Amino acid sequence: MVDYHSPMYLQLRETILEKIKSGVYLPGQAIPSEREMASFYGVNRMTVKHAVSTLVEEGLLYRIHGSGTFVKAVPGKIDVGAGGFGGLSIGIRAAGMIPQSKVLYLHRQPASPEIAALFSCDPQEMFYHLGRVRQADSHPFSVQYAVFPAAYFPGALEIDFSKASLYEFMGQMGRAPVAFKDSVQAVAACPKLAKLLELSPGQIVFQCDYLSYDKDNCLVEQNRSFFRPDKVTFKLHLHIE
Amino acid sequence: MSIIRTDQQFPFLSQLAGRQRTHSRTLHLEMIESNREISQFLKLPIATPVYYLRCLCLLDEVPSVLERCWIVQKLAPGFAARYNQESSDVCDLLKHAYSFSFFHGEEEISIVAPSPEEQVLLPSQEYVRMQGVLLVNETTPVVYYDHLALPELYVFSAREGG
Repeated sequence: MVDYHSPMYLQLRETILEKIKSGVYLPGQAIPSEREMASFYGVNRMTVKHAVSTLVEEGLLYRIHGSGTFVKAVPGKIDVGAGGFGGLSIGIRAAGMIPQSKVLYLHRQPASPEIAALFSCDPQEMFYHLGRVRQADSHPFSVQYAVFPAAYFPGALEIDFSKASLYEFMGQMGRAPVAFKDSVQAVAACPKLAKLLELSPGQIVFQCDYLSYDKDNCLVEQNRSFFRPDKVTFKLHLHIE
Repeated sequence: MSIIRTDQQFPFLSQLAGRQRTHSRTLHLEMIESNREISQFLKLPIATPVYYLRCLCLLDEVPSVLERCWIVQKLAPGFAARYNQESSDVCDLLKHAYSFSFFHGEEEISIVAPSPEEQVLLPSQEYVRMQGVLLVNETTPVVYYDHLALPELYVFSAREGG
């Protein structure tokens, strides 16, 4: 167990790991630079480098030369995108299960009027549309529909999103989502959605709509996801004056 | 029409309904001793006095939310009398009669099936359950609540990060 007497690099490693597990650092997101962490924590830069290197060797972080160090995976958690800190977060009752994704479709098309208005772009701009069923131990818990700008994410059509994380890919393009505007409501599942989630038509599911923004406050994703109610809960973190 | 519920609002229909007409029917209000579950949520020793309030809330005359809350008696002395005489609005009392401000808390939102008794009061095959604790001074629990709402009543919204 890491405590006050442990080597400094292990204490720092534990801090970074805890932030990855709790969702402060999201998959695909860059962690602060070694120089920033050394300055903030008041430690030698080599100590930071050692702590980060252990997490890179363990496969939890990866480095992109000239760009930074990014979060690769979250131990014991299924990455469903938005949430993890701040106002609204999601808990998946899937601990210990193996996460999988099945791609329903991935294509590129010009913006609809609604998408063009949302992203404040020209209607001729191209966007990717990605539909996926997210599973745990081969049982569906979520259906997700993501729309993101082709200009920001060239080469997305070559990515196998049944295996790759969308947010990891976005991070590799330097546009990892770091801020979200979420809303969650309960809706009745239409027959098509019910079939994908292995539910009866009309059964109540969670619908989560969110917009994802990168570190420059650029809108990088519009997402609508549906969740089986027996697999997830949501948490609203209250601050009332 | 759905009601927007943000992370900066109290979890009571009277606070959330805006211009829509609300009316609540008090089903139960008394001081009881906290059981194990309530004690854990409110971080109290077991058998601590708490007020238990249960209301059926109507929106435009339609039963919409079954609100249940447990309030720490020591932090809100005389709550039952004030509720009956001064104001039947929990938030109003907490803010003005007891001068609490800057509430924090965490609320869990889930979808549940009704009990037979609940289904009589609030007819629906499923409910959205809102379960949480309100704290004052960032650390002191004052209210534990466990509400059941019609599934399409609320849209929960927040902005995170950035």
